[in-house]
Amino acid sequence: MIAMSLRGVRGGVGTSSTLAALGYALHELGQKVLLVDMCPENSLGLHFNLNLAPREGWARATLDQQPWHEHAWSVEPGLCVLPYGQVQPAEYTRLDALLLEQPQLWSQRQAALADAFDWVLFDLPQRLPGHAANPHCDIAVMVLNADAACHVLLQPLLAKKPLFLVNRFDAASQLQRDLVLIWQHRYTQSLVPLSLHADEAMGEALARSEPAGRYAPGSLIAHDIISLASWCLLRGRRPA
Amino acid sequence: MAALPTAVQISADILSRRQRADDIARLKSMMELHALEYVDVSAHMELLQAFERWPLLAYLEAQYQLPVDLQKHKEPSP
Amino acid sequence: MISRWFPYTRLRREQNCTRFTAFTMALIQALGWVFLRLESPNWKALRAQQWRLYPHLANKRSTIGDPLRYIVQTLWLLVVRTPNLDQIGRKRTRRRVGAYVSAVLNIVQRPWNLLSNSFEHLPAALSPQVSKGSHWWSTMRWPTRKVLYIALGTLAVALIVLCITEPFGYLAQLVFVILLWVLAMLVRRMPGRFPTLLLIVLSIIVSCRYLWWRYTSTLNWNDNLDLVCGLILLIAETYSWLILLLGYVQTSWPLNRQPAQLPPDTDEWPVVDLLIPTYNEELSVTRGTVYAALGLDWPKDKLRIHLLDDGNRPSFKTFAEEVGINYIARTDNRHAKAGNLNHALTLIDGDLVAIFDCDHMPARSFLQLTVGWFLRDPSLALVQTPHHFLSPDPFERNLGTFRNRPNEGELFYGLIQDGNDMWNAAFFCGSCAIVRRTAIDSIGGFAVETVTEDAHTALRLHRNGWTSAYLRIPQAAGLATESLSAHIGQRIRWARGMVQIFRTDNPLLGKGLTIFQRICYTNAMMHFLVGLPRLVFLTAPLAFLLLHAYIIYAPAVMILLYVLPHMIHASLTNSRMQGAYRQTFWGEVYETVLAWYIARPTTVALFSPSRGKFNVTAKGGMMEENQFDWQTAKPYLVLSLLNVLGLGFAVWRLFTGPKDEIFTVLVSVLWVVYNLLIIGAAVAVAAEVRQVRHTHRVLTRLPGAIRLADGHSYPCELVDYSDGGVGLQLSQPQQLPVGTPVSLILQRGNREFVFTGMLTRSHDLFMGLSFAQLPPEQKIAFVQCTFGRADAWLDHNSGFEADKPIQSLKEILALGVKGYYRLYEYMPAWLRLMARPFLRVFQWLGSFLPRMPKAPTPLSSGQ
Repeated sequence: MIAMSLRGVRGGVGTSSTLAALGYALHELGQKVLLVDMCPENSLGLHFNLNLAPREGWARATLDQQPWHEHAWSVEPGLCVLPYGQVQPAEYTRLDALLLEQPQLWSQRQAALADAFDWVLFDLPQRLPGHAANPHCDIAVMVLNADAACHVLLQPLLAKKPLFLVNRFDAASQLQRDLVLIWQHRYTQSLVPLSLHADEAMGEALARSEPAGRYAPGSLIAHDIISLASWCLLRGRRPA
Repeated sequence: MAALPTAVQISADILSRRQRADDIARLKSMMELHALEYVDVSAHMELLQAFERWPLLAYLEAQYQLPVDLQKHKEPSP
Repeated sequence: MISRWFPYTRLRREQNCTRFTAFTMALIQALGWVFLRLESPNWKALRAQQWRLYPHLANKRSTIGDPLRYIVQTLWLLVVRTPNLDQIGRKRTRRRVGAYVSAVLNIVQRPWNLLSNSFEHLPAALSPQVSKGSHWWSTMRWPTRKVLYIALGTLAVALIVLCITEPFGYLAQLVFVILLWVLAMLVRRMPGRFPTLLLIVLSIIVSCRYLWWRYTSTLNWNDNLDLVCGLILLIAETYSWLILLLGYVQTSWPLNRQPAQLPPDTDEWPVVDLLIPTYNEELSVTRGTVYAALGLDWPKDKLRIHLLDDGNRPSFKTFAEEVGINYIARTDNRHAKAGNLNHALTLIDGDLVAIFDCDHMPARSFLQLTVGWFLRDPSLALVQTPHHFLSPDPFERNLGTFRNRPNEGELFYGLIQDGNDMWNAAFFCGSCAIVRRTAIDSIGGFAVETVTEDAHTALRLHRNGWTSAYLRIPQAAGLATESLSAHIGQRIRWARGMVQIFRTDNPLLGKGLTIFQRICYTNAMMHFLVGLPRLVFLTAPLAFLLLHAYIIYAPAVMILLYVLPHMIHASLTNSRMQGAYRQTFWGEVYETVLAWYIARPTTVALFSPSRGKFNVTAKGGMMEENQFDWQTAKPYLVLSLLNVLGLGFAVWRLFTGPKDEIFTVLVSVLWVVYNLLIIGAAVAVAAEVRQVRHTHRVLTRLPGAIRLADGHSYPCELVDYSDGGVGLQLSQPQQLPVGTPVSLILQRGNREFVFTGMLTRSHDLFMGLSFAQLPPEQKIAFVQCTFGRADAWLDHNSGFEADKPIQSLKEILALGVKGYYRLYEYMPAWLRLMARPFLRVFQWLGSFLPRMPKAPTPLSSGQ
């Protein structure tokens, strides 16, 4: 099993949509995939036509000391979504502290999932360091857009050599081209060697409660996501 | 599932698309010039111009990094 | 009932037969019913298959010739293997016959296969012994080795001389040539370069033996006509023999040079002046080259681009200013291109000078691949790369061989230059090359004395001790000549220029060249003298048929025993050496087309080299409609008429001539027919095929994507491009009206570029975009993403089929027939009317020829 996480370098870069689409694409390539929503907004299921903010989820269960794994939804055989569950702000702060206290919590859970899934994808939140740090991931990707704000936010992170993925890339924009060129040359080892293009289909997919690959399989973004999934498969086989 | 081989095909096709897009890599493999060190001058020019165009990028460059040797450029590993 | 047994009325009414035909056919049928029991199941099954076994007769109006056609076809069916015929009886017979034949063949085949397989693995099996042997050889002391070398050499020469000069009778000659042929066929199976050398030696022995025999025993000194005709043929043959031998030396060991690595620090890279000479070419053609030059991957402060406009045109000046390159014009245009370049040399001061004709677009990697050698070798004066053509030349266009057969230039740039490079004799070809400034200054600039300044300049460089290099990586592409006449015009210029150099600055004489350099240059120049010898070969058999001159004064069988091995060995060896660059027999077509036209200018230049003027090759024109170039084809029509006349004489001689000449006549007829078909192939080239577009579309497979105005994007494949647009293939159809703005995203390496164009056509999955309105910087980027890609021209030979001499011969002969058919199609109406009866006769004769039976449909084969 390979654990992978996506996290936005800031809000609104399209992390959840990308994660949903990537999960779907990996599943299309014959993988058994579990998507785990680590965000208190609890909205990952929307990409798969599930309810908005289901009451039950892993966070709710963990707080209530219930078995956490019973709340996963099976979208298709081999493609499951584990929602966060409805949790009050005070509660998720408490949960975050708990996760910081027990840094092995998700590692143990991942070990339990190893037989059932080939891939577990975590949609990590912006803040809440406990949530973000707890899953132990083989591939941890920061998602960003090619804009100056992301470039600024990126600078302090560089020391840790994370992986970046450019989302919503528009090659017609001079600034975006320049930024990607700079990143390609400066952070060659950190940059995922393919960019996800800006495509209207990505936004429309969520409005139709579908992952992009199912909503518009012929679109460029669906194609990009399949490339990303292929890259993940290649990278996942390589010892981390 | 019947879709599996086609999905694998798609994936292979996409990988080949990426390889076909890289003309220098293809030049090296087709002419067996594996040792050739190619300098993508046009990309370097564009890079220099980018820092000229956007002062913030140049500023951050100076803040966070030692200037990197422009001549050396390795292609990212896939 | 009666209509079945005696279908006279039906034939009369339905098929409109004459009374006689209907009666004869009906009578045959009636006899058939009476004597052959046609109602039996076997006959029924056969009759049900009529449409399949007798395809040309099934739906034909019955005529009096049909019984004969049925007989011919039936005999044919008994002989050939019919596809999927599942009649058990015939299968069994065939199996029995097949088994018998293969058993007989096996006796020969098995040992042959064993032998040839062992030869195939011989190099691998021998290699330990060989390396041991060479080690032992190198440990030997030099004087001993020298003695051994001399002894071995003398022995070899003695044996070869013996092989060449020993006169043989019929049987001895037969055994000798069969032995050599078997040896060649075995050696052919062995991989590697040494077996090629062995093949060359065999071919040289056989050819020398042939020529020796021709000189010593085939000239009739007693008859003046025989002697004159025979000597003319013999001189032509000697020429071919010389070219064959020189060619073997020239291409025996191609160098396959690799690029040399540049230093990592770009400050150490030399300054390059890139010259684009132009005279009367259109600006649209030149633009692409300038954009591609601007996209070269070379530090901007070390690359200066100069447009050398000998036409002094304001539009070129404006364009040069627009894109920021240097514009150089001069007041006169003395010495044409060479003068233009020399004038520019006075105004520039870079270390190296790159030269591109204004229609040769360089790939972005050109300089980085070529300049390295100048730094590694200080005596290097010149690096040449191949001229690749992105549009079909007249041969390729009119014969439909573009991208599936090597073209005329392929042999030169694929093999000969690489062979020259081995001997440090790679020539300068005027474009797609780079020269050292100090070297060109040391010989006083580009040579202006002849019309081929390039080869002459290279010769002078070599004479002055400079070296040259050839890099066989296509790093530029240009337009081929548009029409046959322009193509021939270009070749006339080359031929004249090369012969001029041969006369004024003969490479065999003078200082500074090695023996191999002399050979390479001589071969290149002699090659253009092919015109007269080729014409001699095309008319030689006529000397016997028309004038009854014994041009080869020997028995016909003996001639065959000598000439066939000579031709077969030459073809086998050349097929192995050149197969990938020129297929067997295609050279004959290329030479035949040019022969007439270069014969006169080369002969004139040979005797008075100062005559002859420079003519520029016209490019970028347009063939508006299919047409036949009568002007160009005229000499070939005359030649073919002569040969047809020869055939007529042959028939006459067959019936009235002496008995002992019959075999000679037959051999001459074969030669005449071969000549006729080769001339036919040349005629086929003259039928010019219409060009549909103004701009040439380059076929490709490149990944890309499109982005529509509404923000939706789709992946696509770039299937072709030209300087004004692209053709795309999508994975799903798009319903878009023509005129919609569409952005194309192209990748080159890691970088992406967007070009906004206009939808010009959309059909199913295919889409055409036009980029008429791109700003200049986008045009540069577009050229870099397409024509300027480092890999753009590398796989041009991926569609070439492997050379098979027999197959190639068949194709050429078929091409010859096609040539005459095309000729008929383009003839004026009154001539066609006159030719029609003859054609009818041929068609009628052809209708008797048997056909291949059709494959059965599942229905009929199911029983």
